[in-house]
Amino acid sequence: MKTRPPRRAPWVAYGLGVVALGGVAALGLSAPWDFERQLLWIRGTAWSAFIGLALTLCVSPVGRVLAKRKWFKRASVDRLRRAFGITTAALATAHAALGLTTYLGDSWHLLLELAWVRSGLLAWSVLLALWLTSYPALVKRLRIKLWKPLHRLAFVAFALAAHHALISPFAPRDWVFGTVAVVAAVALLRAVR
Amino acid sequence: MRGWRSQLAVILLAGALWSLYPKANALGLLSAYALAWLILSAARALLPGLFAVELTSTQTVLISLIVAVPPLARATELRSRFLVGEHLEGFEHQLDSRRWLEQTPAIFPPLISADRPQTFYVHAPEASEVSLRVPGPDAISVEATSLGRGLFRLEIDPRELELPARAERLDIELLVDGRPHAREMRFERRLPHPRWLRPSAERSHVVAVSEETDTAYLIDRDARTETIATGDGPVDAWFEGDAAHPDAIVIAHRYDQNLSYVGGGRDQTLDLGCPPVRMAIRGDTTAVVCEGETPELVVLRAREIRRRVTLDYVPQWVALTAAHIVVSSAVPAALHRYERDGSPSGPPLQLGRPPVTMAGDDTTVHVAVTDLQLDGPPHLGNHFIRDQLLRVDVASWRVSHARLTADRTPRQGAPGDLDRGISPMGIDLAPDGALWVAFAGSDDVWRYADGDTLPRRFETEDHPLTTPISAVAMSGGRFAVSSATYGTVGVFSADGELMRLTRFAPGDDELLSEDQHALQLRIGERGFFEGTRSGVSCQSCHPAEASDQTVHNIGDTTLIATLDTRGLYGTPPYLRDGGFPMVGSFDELADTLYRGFLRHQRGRRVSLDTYVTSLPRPTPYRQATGRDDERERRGVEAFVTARCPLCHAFPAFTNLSQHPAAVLFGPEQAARLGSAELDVPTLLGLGQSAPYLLDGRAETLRSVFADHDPAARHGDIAALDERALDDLIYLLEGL
Repeated sequence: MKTRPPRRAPWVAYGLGVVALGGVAALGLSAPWDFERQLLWIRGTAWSAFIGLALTLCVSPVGRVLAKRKWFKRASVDRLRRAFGITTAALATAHAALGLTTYLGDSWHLLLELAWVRSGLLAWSVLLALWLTSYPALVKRLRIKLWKPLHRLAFVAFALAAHHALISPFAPRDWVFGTVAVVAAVALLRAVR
Repeated sequence: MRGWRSQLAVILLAGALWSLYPKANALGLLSAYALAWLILSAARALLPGLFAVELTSTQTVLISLIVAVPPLARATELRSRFLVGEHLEGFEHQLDSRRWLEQTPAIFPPLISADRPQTFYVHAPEASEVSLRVPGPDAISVEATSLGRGLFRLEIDPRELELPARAERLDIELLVDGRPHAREMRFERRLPHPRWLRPSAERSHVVAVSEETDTAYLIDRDARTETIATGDGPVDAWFEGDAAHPDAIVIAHRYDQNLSYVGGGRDQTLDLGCPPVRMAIRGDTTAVVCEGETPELVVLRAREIRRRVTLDYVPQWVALTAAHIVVSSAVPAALHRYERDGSPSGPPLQLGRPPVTMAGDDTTVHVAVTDLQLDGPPHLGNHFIRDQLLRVDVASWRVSHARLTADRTPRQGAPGDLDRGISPMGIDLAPDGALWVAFAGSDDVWRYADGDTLPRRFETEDHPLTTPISAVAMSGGRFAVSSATYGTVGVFSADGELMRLTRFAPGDDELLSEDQHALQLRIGERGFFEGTRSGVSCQSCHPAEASDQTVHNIGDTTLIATLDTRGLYGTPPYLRDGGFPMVGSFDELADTLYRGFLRHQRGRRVSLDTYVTSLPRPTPYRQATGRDDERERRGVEAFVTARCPLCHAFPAFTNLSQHPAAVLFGPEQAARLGSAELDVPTLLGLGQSAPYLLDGRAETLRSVFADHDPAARHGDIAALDERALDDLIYLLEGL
């Protein structure tokens, strides 16, 4: 199979992110009631970010298997993972910004008070830290040596996001469990050497 | 440090840091990890030599195990706090319930009770026909009525289905456009529950009904019994007692909406045209109070309806004196006086809290209440309950005497503990002027001789007569006591010796070997009525497992309208803020805030949960009176147009979620409510659960939308015109 040019892979992730954002914006605009529109935007960006994070975690195990069979270059896998991670963090930031400015309004004190809001905030905080440390120049400048222990927090962010979704008001439980199950199943590919 | 060792180092250091300052939540754990990562990153940058030390695998494992001990010990200690803090306690129940609703076709409630007609809702998007079938040799299908938008209403009378005599689960099939979908429902068939005893004129007999089993029980002073099969939902039975039919028994049926006259040589059924809740007979006058969308007082003489009085409140109890009829209500918490012909007579007598039970004699009515405030709202201390008996002089229409009942004996475990006179449930005014009172919360019966200030006490705890509902004087100085929980009636001698006990339900031993679920229900029911040492029981605020329909100052923070405890199955978490994952969690409250229950009972938490969740919600009035299907369809359309299903999703009319109060009602209202989060309640039973919203600030459904939605987030009501809003309210009232 023909190997894809390495620099094209990230744009797949960025493109998907932009399409997701556009789709969510259009979906929200179709709702006549302000509150429902806000909820659609919040939920749409939330699901985009959650699926993005799931894809980020799946890229390495899948990519490693594909790279082993020479279907993919290892460097492309890393770039794709990074791009999905950045896209995820951006979508999560959009979700957090929408949630804070619309749904929660002025009630920011609830950020730490309510368990489901708190776990969402923690997941976003982790993703933000990972986003900022996803640029080699910045990592070098900050002299970050323990990069992997930091970026393994992506799994923690996923667990927090799943918790956030499961006890939040609207997320269908089967969708959340389905996504978690897929990530867990794909993670097993790490055992493939 | 390379690879997994650096990861291990961060985790171990994080664990150690967390164990020094343990916060039982994800924020605490994540902060510890971040701090550990920062420390190790800085150390690696500043002290590179330190990290040049190479450890063998054995050394690494040993050090790791040693360092991991303190955080693991802390984690074990704080596990339950972590689960509570992160809303993970009882999470599996919530998850099961939410998935039940999200799996279409979905039916709600997921509980079939064999003792009453029930209305179910089915959500089957895109379907045109839905029916329910209980598989079996003579399986009968019940057709559902389509209300549009994928919602179907299913009205079931269990008597028409072939239901098992005993089962905990029931397999049913939902036939959606002919295609079967198997569902497993919880099933409850209750044991006999004889409640209020009514004496014959000579006090030689008493009669009681069991609404759960459609039976009446006749017991004479020698404890000889007769069981009478009744119509559907007997709520009260009295001896007719007039000269023409001294031995006839009159039975009021809630679901058949009639009075049955049994015995005395002339059986007869009289259609009431409304669902009775209580009755009283004196001389030739019978007074019956009915609930329903148009509550009524029906006055009868010589088996003929003489007058129907429409009430602007929902009646609960009725008593007759020589000259008046007295009716009690929860909203307002008051007594209402009428002439014997049914003409209104003066303003209501405000009590502050609704009467729990009531009985009348020639000139007075005696009323049990959980608090008394004649000139304003009830006392608003945290869970304030002060059980007392009121004597109301009907002619002068004032409370002439009030006596507190909750009391202590030398058995008290600590100063101030109460263990007697908790939750008076039944009152009898004997011909000799004595007042007999049964206390369900403390298993005792009191007799106040006329003029005495101190009662004579009889304990029922040693017999299978715990949770006594009613105590009635019989001829020859004897008295009878009923226990609904145990399905028993005992006849006692004048000196308080149990002469004979009649069991209408199996005893504990029999249930232990043959029906452990029923035994667990019985233990849970007893726990529901049992008082705590502070004098408060579940029954105090939830009379007849319903709601006292007033507000209580819960936790000393805010006034909260009492919730109905019926129809909770499948709707966790509980309470207005969704703060309790299980109903049984209230057991902890009793232990921590209310000094514990009077008796030690193993497994109380689970039995209390089993019992309360077994209670079906009240049958909607319209199931008997009929519905305007077309209007309900328009109501569903309005419901969807106003986007109500976003939170009040079909078929449970809730998606079992919680929202910040400030999001729905704005920060000012939220601050006043004192509750950060609000549980989305099911709307089933809404028509019978006024007042509305957390603090009961909306008296009507219309007011919920018109006056109490400042942020315009409680539905897109602006999208509805006046007619659509009327249809929506019609739908909600009939759910």
